[in-house]
Amino acid sequence: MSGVILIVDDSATIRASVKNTLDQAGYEVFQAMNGQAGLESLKQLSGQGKMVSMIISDVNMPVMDGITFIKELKQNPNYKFTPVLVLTTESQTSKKQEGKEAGAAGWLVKPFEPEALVGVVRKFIR
Amino acid sequence: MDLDAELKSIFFEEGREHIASLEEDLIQLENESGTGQAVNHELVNRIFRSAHTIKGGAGSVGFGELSGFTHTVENVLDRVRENQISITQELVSVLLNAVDCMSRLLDAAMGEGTPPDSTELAALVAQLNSHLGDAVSAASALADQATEKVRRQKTDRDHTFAIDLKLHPQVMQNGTDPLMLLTELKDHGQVTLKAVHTENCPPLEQMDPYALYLSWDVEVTGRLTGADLDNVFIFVSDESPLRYRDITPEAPVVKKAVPRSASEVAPGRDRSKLNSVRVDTDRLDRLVNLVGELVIGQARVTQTTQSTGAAPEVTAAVEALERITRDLQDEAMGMRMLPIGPTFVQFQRVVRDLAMSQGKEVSLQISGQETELDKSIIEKISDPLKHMVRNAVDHGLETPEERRQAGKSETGELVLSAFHSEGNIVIEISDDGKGLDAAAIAAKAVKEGLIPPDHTLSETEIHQLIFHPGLSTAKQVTDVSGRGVGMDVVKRNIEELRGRVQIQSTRGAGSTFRITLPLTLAIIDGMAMSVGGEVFLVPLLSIVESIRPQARDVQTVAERGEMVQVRGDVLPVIRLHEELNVFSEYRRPEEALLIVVEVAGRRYCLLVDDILGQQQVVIKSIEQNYAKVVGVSGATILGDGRVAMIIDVPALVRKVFEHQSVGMA
Repeated sequence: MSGVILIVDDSATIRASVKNTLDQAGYEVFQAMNGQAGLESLKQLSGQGKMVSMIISDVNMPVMDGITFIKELKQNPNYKFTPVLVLTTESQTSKKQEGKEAGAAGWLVKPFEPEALVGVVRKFIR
Repeated sequence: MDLDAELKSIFFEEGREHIASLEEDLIQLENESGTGQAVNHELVNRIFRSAHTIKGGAGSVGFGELSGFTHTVENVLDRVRENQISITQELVSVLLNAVDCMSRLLDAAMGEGTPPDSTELAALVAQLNSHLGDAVSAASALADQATEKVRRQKTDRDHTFAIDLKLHPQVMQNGTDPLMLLTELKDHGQVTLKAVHTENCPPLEQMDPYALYLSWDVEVTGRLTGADLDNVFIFVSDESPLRYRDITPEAPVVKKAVPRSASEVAPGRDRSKLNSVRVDTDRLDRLVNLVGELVIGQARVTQTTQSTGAAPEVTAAVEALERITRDLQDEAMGMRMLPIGPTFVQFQRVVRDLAMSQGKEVSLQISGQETELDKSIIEKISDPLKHMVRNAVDHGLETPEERRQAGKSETGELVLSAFHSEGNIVIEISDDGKGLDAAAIAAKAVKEGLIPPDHTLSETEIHQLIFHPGLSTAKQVTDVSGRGVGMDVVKRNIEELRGRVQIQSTRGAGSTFRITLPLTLAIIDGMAMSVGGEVFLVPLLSIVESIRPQARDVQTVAERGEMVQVRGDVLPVIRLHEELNVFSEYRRPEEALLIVVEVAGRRYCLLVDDILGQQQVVIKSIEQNYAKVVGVSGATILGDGRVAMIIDVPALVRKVFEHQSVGMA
């Protein structure tokens, strides 16, 4: 079984790298540039009858950061139980905790190996 | 392009953008801190984020050196963000140097330029670290990264672990599915369920459907270690630490690892809907060329149907096709358009550094950043513009002391603006400095023998002399400008883009340089002229008017050749048929037509047989297909299939008058 995944990150490099990796693993990947765009993408996708089965989000982004994004997301009954993975870097260890408190299910430290990403995603959807 | 190369090129582009915005934002930060305003947190955050994005991206595509170095920069920015370090000019300078280094590391990673050497990098890292105020070394940055790569120890034989699988009751709230964890466990070995504990289940009416009341005793056997187990439960062990113990029997269990689950998914599908795609610029250029061919082909079809008197249905169909072709052309051209903003913004740094080194105070205002220009024009105009901006700071604006004495505010104003005007793009560089000193320029030109001592040049004409090679009015040669090369190259570069540059300067009040450029290089608005049996095109941008002179207005002046009087001005005549070696019956100006053209503020008359009309044509390079022809900028194919040359007016004028001094009037 595969799933639909949304990657929210302001870095095109990270988005492309996540998308490439997960495309190859058979997932269907959509992209958004920040939390606000992420919320809009989710609205659009559900309009097309697509339910996102997992969300991967960066923390520090312009317009709407990842923590606010997750909090907003968890207000929406449609996505309350959608697992969210936060992308952090080694300098943001506190963000892991902040992310979890906001409702994230897990985290992944950048930079990551493709196998590590697939491994973490497979913890939530297969 | 394979995925890796594609990723690198995405990163390269993104890295460039972030480096540019880092520069811009750092300069803004310095400006704001100078005014005593409170620290702009939004700005500091943006700066931090740019560095952060570069670091993350560089790490992802394997540019370790860039990633490591940027990490140090990020550390400093983090402290700035936390208000632990105050913003000083010195700090901004160090950060700007670091951004330069990042830019060079990025180029080097893409195989361009030379990377900064290790001593240079180390010195910068030391400078950056000195701002941290404690002993953070570059080594710790590397160690940070190293710790993230958890090396899993492999085991050479099967182990059995007994797991007390008791998760936090609210674990499902964030989307964690215990079943998925058990499935993942199965990837590592054979899973046996020993017991299910249901004693925590409340009565049905009190049950929260989203809470987890069950716990399990599980055994897993396979080639796995405790670290593997920790890894499986890494996200759920915070709230409820996982308890497990190794119960492997003494004798190795002979059992093969369970093959990976059959639910492995099929690779590689790309169905995601994107709002934009990245296209190689070469492909874009090819598209535009093909559309150009299409426009020419379309024109031929249209002309043929008209001349052969086609049926009305055919004419209507051709007209419809023509409309589509025109729309397609607009769209294709539009794809090559980029805003001028990023080019302007990069000058902030140039202005800042130059003003600092000269002890001047300059405020740079930018307007019309959103004005779009053809990509190739932007690329080619960037250097001439930079030169003019430097000139404005170097020669145009005065020191605060000089300005005070002149009764002006100490800070000089430099305004860069871009806007549309009459189908062209206009870029203006305007300063409120001392203006051009016409008398000094004239004196210098006389000294250099460019104009006679008894010249009668107007002030505007004298201003134009600064574009002459070998003329510079700087009182002393600085390391920036003033070596007497530059403005002539600037003018030539602009003319190569079929643009023109005008000067408007008032002594003591400042100067404005106005550059007028065509919207695109691929298409030209031209006036078709017949000379002999041939058709030539003159760019509309060069044309002032056309006249048919009276015989008495034309005279031949010794050593100056043929001149014609036009509204009180005496203008030189260029006989196109002579210059282009075409036989023409119309040799007397009063029987032919004169096209008045303007080049660098001076007017000339081109003698042609007749004007055929204005048309938009697609330029084809002659240089690429044949050789460079002086006085001709390219060729085009006319509606009837004939080839017409496009006249390069500035080059033609130079060719005709290169043996004469500029001082004739």
